[in-house]
Amino acid sequence: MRAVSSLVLAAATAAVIAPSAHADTNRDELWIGGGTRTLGSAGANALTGDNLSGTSLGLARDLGIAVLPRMAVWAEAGLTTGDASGVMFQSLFTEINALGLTGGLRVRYQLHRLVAASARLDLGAQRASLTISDHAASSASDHGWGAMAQAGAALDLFAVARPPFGIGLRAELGYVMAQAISLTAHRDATSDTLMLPISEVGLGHLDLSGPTFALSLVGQF
Amino acid sequence: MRTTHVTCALAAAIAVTACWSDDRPIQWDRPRSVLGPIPLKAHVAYVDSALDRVTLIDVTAGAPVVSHAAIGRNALYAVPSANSHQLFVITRGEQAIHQGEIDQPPEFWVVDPQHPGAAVAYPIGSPFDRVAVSPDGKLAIAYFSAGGTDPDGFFRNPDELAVIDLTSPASDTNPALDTIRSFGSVPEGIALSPPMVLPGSSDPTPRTFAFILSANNLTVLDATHPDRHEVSIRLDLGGAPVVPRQVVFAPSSASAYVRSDNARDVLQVLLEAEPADPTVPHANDFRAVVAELGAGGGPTDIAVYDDARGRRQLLASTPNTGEVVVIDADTAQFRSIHIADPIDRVLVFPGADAAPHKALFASLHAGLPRLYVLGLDHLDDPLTQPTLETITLDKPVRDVVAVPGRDLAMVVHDDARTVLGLLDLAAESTSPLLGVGQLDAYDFLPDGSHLIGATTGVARVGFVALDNLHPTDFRLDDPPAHILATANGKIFVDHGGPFGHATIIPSATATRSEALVLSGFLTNDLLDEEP
Repeated sequence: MRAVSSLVLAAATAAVIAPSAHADTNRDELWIGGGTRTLGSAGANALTGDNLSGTSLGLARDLGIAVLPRMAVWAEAGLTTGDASGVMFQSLFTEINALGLTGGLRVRYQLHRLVAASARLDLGAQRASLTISDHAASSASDHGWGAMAQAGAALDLFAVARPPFGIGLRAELGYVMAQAISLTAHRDATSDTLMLPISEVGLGHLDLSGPTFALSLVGQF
Repeated sequence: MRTTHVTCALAAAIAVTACWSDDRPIQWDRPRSVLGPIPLKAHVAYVDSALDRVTLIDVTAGAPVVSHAAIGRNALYAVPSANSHQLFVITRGEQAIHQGEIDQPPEFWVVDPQHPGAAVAYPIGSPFDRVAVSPDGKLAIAYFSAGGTDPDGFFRNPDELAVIDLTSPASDTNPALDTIRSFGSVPEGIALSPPMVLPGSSDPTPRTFAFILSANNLTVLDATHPDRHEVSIRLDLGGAPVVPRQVVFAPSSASAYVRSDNARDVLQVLLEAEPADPTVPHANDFRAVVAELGAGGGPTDIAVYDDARGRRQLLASTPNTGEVVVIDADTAQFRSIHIADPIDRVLVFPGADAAPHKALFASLHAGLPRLYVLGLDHLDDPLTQPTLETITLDKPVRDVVAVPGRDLAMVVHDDARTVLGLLDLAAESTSPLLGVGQLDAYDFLPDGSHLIGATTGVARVGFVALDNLHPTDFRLDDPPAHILATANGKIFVDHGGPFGHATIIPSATATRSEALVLSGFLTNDLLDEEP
């Protein structure tokens, strides 16, 4: 978390002190879209055969750093959600929910007035929650936080790119590297009576790493 | 132009998404069944047929310790050793039909809870679903149950056996596969003898004999030398099929006593040494001498005990003659005692290692409200009159269970196990036990100090102190599914469920703060399992 904060702070500082390199372009961006992450770890495979699908949204700002002609560096912060469900052993129903909070830099190269390619590297944290239930309605659940890093390459296609407002579509391929989160199946108890001391045995580690694909609607201003 | 770009990008995105999938190992889609809880010496075991592992819960210390033993695919059957130190598991194996499946033969597994990472496997060739283990734990025989459980096979030989030498590693000759002679019936059970030396044999090595029980047929196999021919004994009398049910061994005289349904009498099978025929390959070196003991009347139950002089005695009930018979297993001499009731349950007290001094007789099928207590101390003296006492109750007797190591018996008066009584054989008196419902699960502490009982749907465990019949109960957080007492006196209450959920009560007098709920042990490290 400390590394993420430092990165975002540095990007913000750079954005303030750097002179503008693209006075004729929009410098702020919002995006919202959907994506999917292929889960390939042993723990994720145990729970589901589905991909982790969900939404992503975020904002970015051009830092005004002119590294090369037609190239810009943007600072960005994003939020992703994802969920997947599955069945284990034909009898246990599983549900995974993930929430990712990231911040990082995107390097963007203008291929055409309406087309841009970009690459990004984000760091952040991810909350993963898991629920397992059966036909008899007994269920257990847990959640935990872990660090995550995300890298990706995107292609932006704009319908309108001129100030004061541009709009386009972004397709991005990437990879999420997530820390395996230790989970324990806590039984869902609703009783308000005094309970016996309990010792709960761990389920193991849930690793939600995997390649991603996202499609977003991008608005620049 | 712009529209074309956008369309191409969208098409590419949809194509990438459509191809975006990952192959999940097929093992996670297998059906799952859990065998257990199975009590062992200091552990409680569960066998998971989907995760291919045995979960062992060590209840010795205050905090239970969970460990796992990896076994083969598709566990079918599990049974503990006679001394409860080991667990034996048969796995069906798997045929590789789909991607991710493996070819694995049926195997017999020996799991030592003290060394769970070193389970030993013996390939047994066929998907047997029953196991008999010798009392000394050195030999096991895997065989098919009468129904068999192999819908996948092409041929199935129900008379095939796998004789496993548990003191040797697996090899081409261990296990030894053998098919016993059949006269139209299939094995319904196997009893393995303690080590016996054949009188007059040139081979002084004690060996184990397998008595294979099937309708109208009793087969005796030298399990120590499974390559040798077996001996078949026809039991049929031309009427209803004679089905052997119980075998009691007298190792000092190399004999066995067999009780059969629809038989005229208790059968004594005496094994005698006989020189092997050198012209016959794999000839055996013994013969079975069969005798009807002359008790008569079709025995309905037998019990065995060693008297104070160490002589093995057999008690048999023969309702057709209105008698119970006491048989000296070494000499086959017997003594009859008249009881008019159709006795079909015989118990001896106390039932632990000490020589018993009383026997209890009940008529369960007839549901008679009478019990009989026979003193065993001087029965071998022909000049002494047997002491037979009648205990008359006010309700019919449906079941009688001996309390381990005590002169006490639990008497069940109805089929639903709601009306119980405790019989004190010393005082020959009964005390009623009233419960909140039917006794769905019960056990006795190993020292016989307490009766533990539970009712499905009622989140309580009931205790009865057997010294003074003081009842107490223990409130649970969840209803019990199984209840058992471990060898170290702890009470293990299994609540069922797919995750593993149990309450461990350290003693019958423990408070709630001393108990512990253990949760999640059946899914322990599930996410770290590589299929």
